[in-house]
Amino acid sequence: MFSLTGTVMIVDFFQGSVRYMTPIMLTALGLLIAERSGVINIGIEGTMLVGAFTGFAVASVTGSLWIGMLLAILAGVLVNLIFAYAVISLRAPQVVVGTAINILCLGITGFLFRGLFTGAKVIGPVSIPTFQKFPIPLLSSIPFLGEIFFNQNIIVYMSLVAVLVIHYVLFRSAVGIKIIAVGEHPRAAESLGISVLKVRYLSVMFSGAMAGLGGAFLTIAHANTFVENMTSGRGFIALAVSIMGRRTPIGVFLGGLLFGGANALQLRIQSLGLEIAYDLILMIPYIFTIIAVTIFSRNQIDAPSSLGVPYEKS
Amino acid sequence: MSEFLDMFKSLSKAGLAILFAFFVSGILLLMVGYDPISAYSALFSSSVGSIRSVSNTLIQTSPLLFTGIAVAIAFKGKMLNVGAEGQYIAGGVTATYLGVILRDVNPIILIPTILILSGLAGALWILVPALLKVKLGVSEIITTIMFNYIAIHTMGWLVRGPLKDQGQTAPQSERIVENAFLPNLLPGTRLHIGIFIAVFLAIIAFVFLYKTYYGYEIRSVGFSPLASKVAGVKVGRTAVLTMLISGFLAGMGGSVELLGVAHRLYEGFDSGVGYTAIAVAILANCNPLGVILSAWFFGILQTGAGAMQRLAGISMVFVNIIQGIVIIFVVAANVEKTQQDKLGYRIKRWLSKKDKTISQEVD
Amino acid sequence: MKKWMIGLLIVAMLLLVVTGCSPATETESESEGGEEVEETGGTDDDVFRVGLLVPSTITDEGWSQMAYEALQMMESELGAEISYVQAGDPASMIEAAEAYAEEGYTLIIGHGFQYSDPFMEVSPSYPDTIFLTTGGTHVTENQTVIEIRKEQTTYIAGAIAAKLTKTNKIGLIGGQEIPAVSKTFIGFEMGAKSVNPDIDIALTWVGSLDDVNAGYEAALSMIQNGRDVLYMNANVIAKGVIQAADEQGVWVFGDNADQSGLAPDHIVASVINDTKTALLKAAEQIQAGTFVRGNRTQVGMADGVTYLLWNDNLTFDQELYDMAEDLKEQIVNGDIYIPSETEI
Repeated sequence: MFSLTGTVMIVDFFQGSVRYMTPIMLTALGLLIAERSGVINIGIEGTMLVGAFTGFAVASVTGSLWIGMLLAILAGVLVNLIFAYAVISLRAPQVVVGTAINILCLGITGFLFRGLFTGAKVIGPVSIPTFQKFPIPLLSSIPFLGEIFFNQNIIVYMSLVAVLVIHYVLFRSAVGIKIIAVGEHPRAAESLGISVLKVRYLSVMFSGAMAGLGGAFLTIAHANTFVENMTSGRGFIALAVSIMGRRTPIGVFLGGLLFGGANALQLRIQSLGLEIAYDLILMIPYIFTIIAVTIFSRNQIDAPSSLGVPYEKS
Repeated sequence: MSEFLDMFKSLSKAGLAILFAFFVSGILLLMVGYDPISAYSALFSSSVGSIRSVSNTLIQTSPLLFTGIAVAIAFKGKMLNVGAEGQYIAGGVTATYLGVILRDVNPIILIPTILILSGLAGALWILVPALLKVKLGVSEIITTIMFNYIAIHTMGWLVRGPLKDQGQTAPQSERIVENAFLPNLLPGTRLHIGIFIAVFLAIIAFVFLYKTYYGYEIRSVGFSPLASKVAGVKVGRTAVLTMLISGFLAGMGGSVELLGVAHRLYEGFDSGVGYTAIAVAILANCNPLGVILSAWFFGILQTGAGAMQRLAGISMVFVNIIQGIVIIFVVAANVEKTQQDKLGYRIKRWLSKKDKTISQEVD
Repeated sequence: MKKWMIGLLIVAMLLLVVTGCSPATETESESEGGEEVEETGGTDDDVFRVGLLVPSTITDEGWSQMAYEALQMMESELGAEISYVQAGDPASMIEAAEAYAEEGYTLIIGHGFQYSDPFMEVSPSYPDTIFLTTGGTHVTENQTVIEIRKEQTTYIAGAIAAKLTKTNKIGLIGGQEIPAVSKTFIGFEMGAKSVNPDIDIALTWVGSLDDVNAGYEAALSMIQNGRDVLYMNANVIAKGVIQAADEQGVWVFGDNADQSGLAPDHIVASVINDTKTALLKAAEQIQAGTFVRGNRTQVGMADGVTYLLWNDNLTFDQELYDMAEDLKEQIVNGDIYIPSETEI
């Protein structure tokens, strides 16, 4: 019996999955561009955290979610600019700089949050309003899918649009060809008059913007406050999602949905009230991720050949 | 000898980077209204100001040193092991289990057995990522991070389930037997022999990496897998070996912390050591001897962080800022023409020689 | 080139030595000064110094923050000299406790069961200092445990929840499973089952103490599962849960402090856990010298450190208020017993 309540539960499940995946997918969409251009960035966790903090702090002080979102994006770009300078211009090892960025961002956001939003003098409220659900007319009345994808908040829509736009730009436009060429064969690209450094800089900065937005989702479109280290590894998951999605926007979308689904599933298993050790249930998403990454990234056939390798102008 | 010259150079660069980081962080402290002088004096006096504080710092140093060497060796072979945290936990868990069940065993046999088996547990924890990397080309960065989460949740399950101390409600394991406690190194302090083992292993690791054939293989694979393959190095085998050694060291680090300090397992036992280890390795440019100093430096920062909070009221997250800036400066200082290029040159030369000998053999 | 490097190195070393040494001498003189005051002034009894060790950030809107606020009250009300430190791993715990003891602190508080073991490494060497842990096992001449019987209040909350639910399904959300949290859920469950033995109760552990977004999602999946009354004990994650309950229009209980303001239309009441008063009382006794050593202290509803605070914005059936009062009476006089941290 496929009852009405069954359908509702499935819709709820996927709605939860979509909310869970949105920040991760936004970040992974940016990462895939950076990776296509040849740069891998584990510092993205820190970038997200800065986005989350900036979005929250600005929205709290100005009272405007839009300004918060805008500045979160800018802050993400700024963090990744530091990263880009170190790994592209200085050709420093990418994993190392990424680690440094993570540590630094954890420190700075924690330090500023304590200094500015706790104690006797605060610069704004600790709880802020969030972007509310905004059903899209017509689309939201599509059975099933409409509820899942088109009865969400504005940033979710932005992430869905981003999937399509990035897919188009990457595979159907000259910009995309440039990015891929730089990642696959930087020297050849340079000889064709493409500036490798410029393309990589822009790709990494774009990735920062997406991670800033992804982080901001956590504070201005989901929970309504900031907590130290609240990204809780979502940046690392985004890295995994980018790889399991074979660095294609559609793949990232599906990978994100898989991870979001694994998490929604984990929470739903617990909410059934079964007697299972919860620590084991909490592992589900991570085991899913390892299996998915293994299946979808075997032999890295599609990995840009210069990924992780600094480029030196000849 | 040139290794030592290289080390000397990177040492001076690291020193400068540290100074600069303290300077920049000091400005930040001033900006938010703290007195950097009193903050830093709290930091240093509590970490190197007396015998007791020196020993406290060394206690904090030893897990960082184990995991730091682990990461350093892996990075030298370009195996990006971000999972020292998970391997450290695997070691700690194994040490707990053995330390609880092996009663009435002479410490001289018991302690080395536990250390080695915990090391093997750490190696086992990296085995899957290592095989996935070598056999299927799956990024070890991702898999080792995922294995960290799995380790953390496994530990949570163990301290609430199979390993739980039944006499208590708290989620923690039973206390290990006293025979398994690491002997004290300095009477009057809590300094255990862990730091001694760690330094010893750092020296061994240095000799291994720079003075043995296998070490050379690891570094050459790290420099250029393709060239190494051409030269007849079994790249896959070397990569797995590198990862296993790395996991072994991190695992042993976990057991040293458990046998030396914690004496029982509970959540939070790991406290992010595996991630800090990456910073430790980088500050030393992945040279195991340098890691001794950089682990000590990070030990000072961690010990001092507590004192800065206690005495100057500066939150502990501030030390993250110092750490982050230090690494960025070190990285920036190391990017000019560095020894990496020189090593590359030497490896290339070595490979071409080897090539010749191979072709001679063939002839 | 090499000379340039060596020059830099020497400068670096010198600077390191300077920064490394000058503070050392400074603090030496400081500590000498401190000793002088103690010797000459004879006022060392008046200097009441309290050190606090917390496991998480003091901005967690829960566990650690409450202890920190207690510490601040010791400063303002008892004139204590205070200091706190965040210490999570055993080495740091031991080291911080020892540093406080060495610096002559009168009272050292470890906020959580996990401080009990590390404190035992230190306390025997400092018999004049009192080591207090909230939860834990070790009780000696100078080490003690204080436990707040918060489960007494969650019992009442559970009973109210069982009355309020229309679906007969209620949900509990925790951060990490530790006895101090589990006991409150057990109390809640006992209370709910005292009203309706067949009630369906689910418990979700988020497995984190900072992932507020996960708390929000955990609450939503509870609500979508038909659970219409929620209670959470998960520090700052509570805000995510309350937000979800508010948006979905189900009942939720506040935790630790009065949280009615976070969702004025959907908070039934808040489970108040007055760590501040409990710790302050203990500190007061220690300062006054009336503290009885060697006891495990339990404080609860009878001492007024834990109680249910109704949301003023709403009015419920008089029956509920009466039941709460009645249960309170029975708990205080011992007719209803709820297991404590060490009994679960």
